[in-house]
Amino acid sequence: MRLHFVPSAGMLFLFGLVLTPSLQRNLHAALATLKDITTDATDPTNLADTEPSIAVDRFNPQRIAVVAFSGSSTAAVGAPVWKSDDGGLTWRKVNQLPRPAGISSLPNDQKIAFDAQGRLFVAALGITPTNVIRCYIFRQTGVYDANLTPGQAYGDDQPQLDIDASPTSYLIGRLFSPFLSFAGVRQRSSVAYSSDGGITMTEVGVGDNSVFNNRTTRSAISPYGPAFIVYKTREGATADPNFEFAHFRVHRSDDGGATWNALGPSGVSVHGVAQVQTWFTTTWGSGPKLARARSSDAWIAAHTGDADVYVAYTHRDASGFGQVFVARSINLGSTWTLTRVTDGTRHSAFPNIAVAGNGAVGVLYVDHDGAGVYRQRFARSFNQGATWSEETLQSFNPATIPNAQDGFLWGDYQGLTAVGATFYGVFTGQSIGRTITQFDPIFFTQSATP
Amino acid sequence: MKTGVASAGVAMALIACLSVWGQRDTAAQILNNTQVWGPDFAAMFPYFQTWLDSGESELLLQGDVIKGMRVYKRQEDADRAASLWRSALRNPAPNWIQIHVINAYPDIGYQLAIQAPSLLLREGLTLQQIVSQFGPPQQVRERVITTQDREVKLISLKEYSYTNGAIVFAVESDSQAPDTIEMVFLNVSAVKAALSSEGFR
Repeated sequence: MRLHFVPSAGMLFLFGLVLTPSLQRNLHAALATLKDITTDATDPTNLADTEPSIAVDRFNPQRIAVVAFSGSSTAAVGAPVWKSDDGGLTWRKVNQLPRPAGISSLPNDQKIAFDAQGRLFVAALGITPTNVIRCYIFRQTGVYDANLTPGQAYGDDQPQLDIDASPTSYLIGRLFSPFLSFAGVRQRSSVAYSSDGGITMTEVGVGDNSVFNNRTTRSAISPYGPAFIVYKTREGATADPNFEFAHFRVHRSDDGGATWNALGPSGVSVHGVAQVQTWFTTTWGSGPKLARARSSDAWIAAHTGDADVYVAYTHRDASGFGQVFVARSINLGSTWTLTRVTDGTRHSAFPNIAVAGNGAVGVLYVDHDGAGVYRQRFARSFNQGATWSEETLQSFNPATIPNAQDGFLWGDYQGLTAVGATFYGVFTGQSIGRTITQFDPIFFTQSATP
Repeated sequence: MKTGVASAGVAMALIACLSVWGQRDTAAQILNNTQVWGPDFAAMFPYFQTWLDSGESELLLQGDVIKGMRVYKRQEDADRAASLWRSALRNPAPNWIQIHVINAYPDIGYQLAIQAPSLLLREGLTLQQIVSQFGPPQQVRERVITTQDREVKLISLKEYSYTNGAIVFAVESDSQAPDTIEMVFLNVSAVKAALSSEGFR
């Protein structure tokens, strides 16, 4: 099990200019840099800090923000946002997600983003005492660390968040929050969009739920303005109860979210006509502590420099293992080419994908060895997904981690983004430098160059 | 210790029973303490038999809402229970005592609830105040709520139990203000029995 990396003394000076001693890096193979976001001081009750998401201010990459399940708001104290002002070397906890009027529980599902002005936004799900789900876009209206301001309530389960921050976009500032609606006969992937930073939100049903329930809705924005969502249509049980038949479909909106039929009313299946077998289970993994993997099987990202769009998804192929695949489109989603990221030797899931400014593609995912040891893995491709090089960010056995909750572990997703030639990510992993070994949000960076 | 408890589709685990101390007050005394409850709470007293008749064994007070923990999978079943509840309503009841069928959470389904005109717990009520009023809790435990339906985070509550579990004050385990009580679970039959002894039948 490798938790972090200690440089050899002879090479230490080479990195002394850019790394503090607290930032750990494997110098032998240029592996990722890891940093536990929390400390005994900032996480005194040893919370698990699960289901993290990450945002990097693309115009000031020293500013990084993370949200995780790191504490619920009260009537008087907001829920926290983790912030770094030095590229991830140090982190502080800022309680700035206030509980909106009428809300008794916040946050539940959440995601974070910066806009083109470097302002912070968080989409978060709140619950009223009468069990009404209200999602809010919390937006920065004052100084960076001040309480964020919630906008109009919208949405349903699993809100996500993307903001068009591209200077080349005709829709710069447009905000998209995909979610899963439980309102109809069948669950439907939907999007709420806003042109005023979430002050007002307009909801649109998007997914094709004419026959099947939808799930796992994620979004991405092309640098020129078109927006995408990927989701799955859940098409029935397989012989293995941990999997279900599905199609992963992409829809595109060219008008800022009002309509999503640019690729047809049912979108485009990224893997063609044939069904895939994807994860749908509450017993993902091995050993005494297992994960939930029901909405953890797809992610979408767009290249910030051209029209390439990538989708990561899971499929049990001929290897017999649930594997991570990547689909690439060079024509705004009309057609896709596929490659397998993982090597067909372990069950893999929870893919999260990002595209760096130079076109390098990164995929964060989790696998396990069948004996209770899980690995947080990061794969990079420097040739548009044709081939992949992988590394283990961290491996751990949650059986030895007291706050690793069986049936949940890290949650439904983790965080990955890219700015310039650097990938930035956050996963739920084994603590580094804490007095009590526990689950913590582990930040990492990795170069987007070979 | 880890004890599994199933309740209407919500999987709950009661973890980490800690300690047992003596307590000063009876359930009726706690329920009648105006330092704890909001001004409208006492208006609920005549209806615990109705809750019992409608199949509820546990109620949750949260904000201005009291709701049954039973989750009905079908709306018609919840509507039927609500009709029974309404037919049992005594006159003259305050106008706001109206039973509603609400969406369940985190399960998919339906629950019964009443919304009061004001908070049912005193705003800013703290554990320190509870202990000051009633002595230490008999039991401190953790309840974890999960569901097979929605993709919710684990809901973990720290519970402070009084009068053999009849009244349980609770706070989210990851609360930024862990001393502030924001929820109370009431054991319907125990509370009903306690109130009956005080003349509420």
